[in-house]
Amino acid sequence: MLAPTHPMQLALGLTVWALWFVVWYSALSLGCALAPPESIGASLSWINWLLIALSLPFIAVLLYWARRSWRASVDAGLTATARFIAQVAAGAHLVAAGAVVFMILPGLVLPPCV
Amino acid sequence: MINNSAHNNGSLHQQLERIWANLPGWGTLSAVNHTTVGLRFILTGVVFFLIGGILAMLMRTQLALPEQEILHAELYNQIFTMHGTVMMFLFAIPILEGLAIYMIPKMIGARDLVFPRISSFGYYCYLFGGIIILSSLFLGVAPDSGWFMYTPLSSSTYAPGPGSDFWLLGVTFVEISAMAAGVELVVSILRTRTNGMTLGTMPIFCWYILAMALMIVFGFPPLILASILLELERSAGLPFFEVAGGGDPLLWQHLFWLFGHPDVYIIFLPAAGVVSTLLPVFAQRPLVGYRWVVLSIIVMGFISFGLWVHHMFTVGIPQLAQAFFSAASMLVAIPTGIQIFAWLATLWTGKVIFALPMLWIMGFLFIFVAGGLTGVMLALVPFNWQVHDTHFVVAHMHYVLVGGMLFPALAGFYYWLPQATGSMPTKKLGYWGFWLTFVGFNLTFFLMHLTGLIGMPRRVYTYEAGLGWDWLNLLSSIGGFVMAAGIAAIIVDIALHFRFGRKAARNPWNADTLEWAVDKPQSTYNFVSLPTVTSRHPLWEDPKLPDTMAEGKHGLATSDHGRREIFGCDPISGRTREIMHLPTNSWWPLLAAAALAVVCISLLVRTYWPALGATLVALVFFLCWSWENGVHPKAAPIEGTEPNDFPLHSRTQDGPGLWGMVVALLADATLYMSLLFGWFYLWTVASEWQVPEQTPIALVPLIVSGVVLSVAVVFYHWIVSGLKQGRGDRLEGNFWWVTLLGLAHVLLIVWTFASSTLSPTQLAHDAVLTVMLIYVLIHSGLATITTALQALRVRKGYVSKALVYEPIVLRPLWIYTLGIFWLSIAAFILMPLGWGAH
Repeated sequence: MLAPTHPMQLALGLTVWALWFVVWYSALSLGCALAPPESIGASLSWINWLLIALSLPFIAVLLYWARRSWRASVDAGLTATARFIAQVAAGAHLVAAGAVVFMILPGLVLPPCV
Repeated sequence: MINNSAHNNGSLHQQLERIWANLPGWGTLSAVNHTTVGLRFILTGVVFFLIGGILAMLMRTQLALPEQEILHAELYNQIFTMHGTVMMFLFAIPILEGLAIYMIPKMIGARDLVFPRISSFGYYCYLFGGIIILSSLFLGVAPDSGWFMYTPLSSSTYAPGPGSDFWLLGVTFVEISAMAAGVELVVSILRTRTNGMTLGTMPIFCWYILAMALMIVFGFPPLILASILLELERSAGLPFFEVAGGGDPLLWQHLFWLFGHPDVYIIFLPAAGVVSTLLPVFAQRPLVGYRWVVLSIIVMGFISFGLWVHHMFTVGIPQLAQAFFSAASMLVAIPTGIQIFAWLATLWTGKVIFALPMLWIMGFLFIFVAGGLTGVMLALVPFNWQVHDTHFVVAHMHYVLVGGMLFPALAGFYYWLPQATGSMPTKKLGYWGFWLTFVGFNLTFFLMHLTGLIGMPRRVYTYEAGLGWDWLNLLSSIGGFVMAAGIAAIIVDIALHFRFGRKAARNPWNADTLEWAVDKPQSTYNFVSLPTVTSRHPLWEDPKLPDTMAEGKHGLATSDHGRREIFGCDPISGRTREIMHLPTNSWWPLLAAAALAVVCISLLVRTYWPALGATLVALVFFLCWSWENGVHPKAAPIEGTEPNDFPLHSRTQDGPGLWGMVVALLADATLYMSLLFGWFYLWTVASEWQVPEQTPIALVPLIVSGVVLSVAVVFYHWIVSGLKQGRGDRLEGNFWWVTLLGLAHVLLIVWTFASSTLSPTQLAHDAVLTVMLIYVLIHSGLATITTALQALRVRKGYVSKALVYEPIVLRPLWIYTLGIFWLSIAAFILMPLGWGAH
């Protein structure tokens, strides 16, 4: 696993967000194309649950990384550059997790395929 | 490394001048240094801006009163299409690239960008592409489908003339320039900072440009692919966007907006970088929340790729997907808000000097915040449905783009004017320019919100009287002309400042960054010596730094070797680890761009043999260009390298070429992923998608060619691994073996292609497969040719076990070629077979 002070951490969380984005949108599109829910107008169909379930591991990983980067950033032995990277990375991971949470909210109330 | 003999800095200056000077007369066309190329970008962009502005004035004249017939409908369509195209593709992006090309080396303490010939090539692609696009207007055949070229409006059925072709070929040509700048800026910022400039201490502008450049790398390829596909459809009948052939017109919208929405942020980020650079200077205190601003730049760079569907809310996408993109669209306001609060806090806690550039910044804050708020309104799906395709959207777009780009760009223009010309702007006319532009802009576009809300659609060439739109349109048109008067005042102001402007001090605004340490008058090499920097504000920490740099008291203050040199640094710590030697003036960029222009024009007039010939000529020029690299005598004479110097980059294993290759392949991979997206999209969405009963491509020879390719790549990898460990026996022979394997692989693909039963003009399925095969073929061919070139370079002594730089640069190309080959087999051939689609 990348060290919390590795510069790739600056992009890692949001890259995972982008991956989640592709997974979510693809799952929705394929789900509606191949096996739309029987009650087409109902919210919280199997597709909604699938989309939420797919998102939870992403949220967990991103929050874990945010905590890990933040804890690393308070290490007194870090160089200024390493602390800078860890702090910004912690923020980026947290934003990525927040973005996933915010973007799945409509899935709690809207039907997926209409 | 430190030259303490300050007494001879005059001769040092002369030596550097001789090494870095452009050739005189027509020879200046071969100039590659960033100052010259950056200024050319900016000046050319200004010319295109004025042309785009004249087109806007024609539109406003037409719409000033109802039922006017000054412009007929067809001409009006051409004019609004060209206005958008010119402003977006020929003004906004290139001028900001030009600013970055001009400014970045000066800010990071370098003498040039890392690939100067690519800068020059990019400029000529921009210039020639722009001329080609504009020529359509003067020939009366300009594109008329809107700057977004929606299919089927832009397809041959509804746009049978050459207008769409001018757009597709010209814009693609111009985009080569953006890609070139994107790759170059990423590598330059990461690898050529002056000694000690860490990621956390580099100027905030560099973060913005780094994000912009990476966004170009990932954002432009979808449009390049879409343009190629549409041009193939128009000229050769491959039905990617035609429903009857199994295509889908909405695929164009997806690909276009996959580019188009990030593009808004590609334009905004550098402009915001100007704001973040100027505000601390005029507040005379450091930027508040540097880390927060960096975080918001990174977040914006990513999130902005997830909004594209908000341009397509009315095309029939399910509600949940719309809400998903609506949420993403609202999210992007948060990083923007962070920056605005950081700017306000900087102003609040500083002692603000309201000089002319600050006035433009204040105008930016007012207009951009208003544009951002209407952006959040448009992110709401029901509201978006209501105002879709009305003047409200036009008003929002101009508030964001003019407020978010033009105002900061003019602030930066006035701020850096003394740096470039040595004279201060005149005050009175500059203030007139600002106020006329500000008032005129708001009069034009604020009212346009109202015009849109009461129902006026965009892109209509006239309207009936009595609909309630009359007085709003009249005032908007008056505002447009007031704004034009403001722009005219600015132009006159700039012209006069050369004659009447007060002579500028070296650092007239008491700025903190290194670009104000360049010599006056400006030189082509920026700095006599390159300092060690440990602060975000080197000129505030040490106001004498420009003097000691000019006296040659810092690094790289030697020039007797005759090379153009800059520092190469560790990307994180900024610690110097090599010396990069840069190419001098070169005609290859101009020749290569000219050959590509011939390709472009030949395709426009549908004469394919000249196009093929010009392509081959361009290839030869590129190969000649690549030949003068590494340790070629024209690039880096061995003599003059002192034993205690850092190594020259061409003697290392991790030089800029490798970084450039990897970043270029990222762009290439994005293009490929866009093709893959198109394939899956058509497969799942296109209503008339058809799959031939028999797979049209013979699988066995394709697999055999893949095995041959795999052997070639493993062999190449083995050669390079050996070279890195100091083993290099029979190097030339080994490269020839790889070349032969590559050639065998290429011939097998060609044979498979020729013996296939593909019907690319009948089925979108086969059309996509055809493009995939050509894509694979181009990569395999390129890897093979460049390896043959390596074998020849071994013979010439430019590559050896002591000079391993170039084979290492080529290795990612081979690996990428292998990767896309097998991925293509899996996704385009095996997966449909596995799912029973054939």
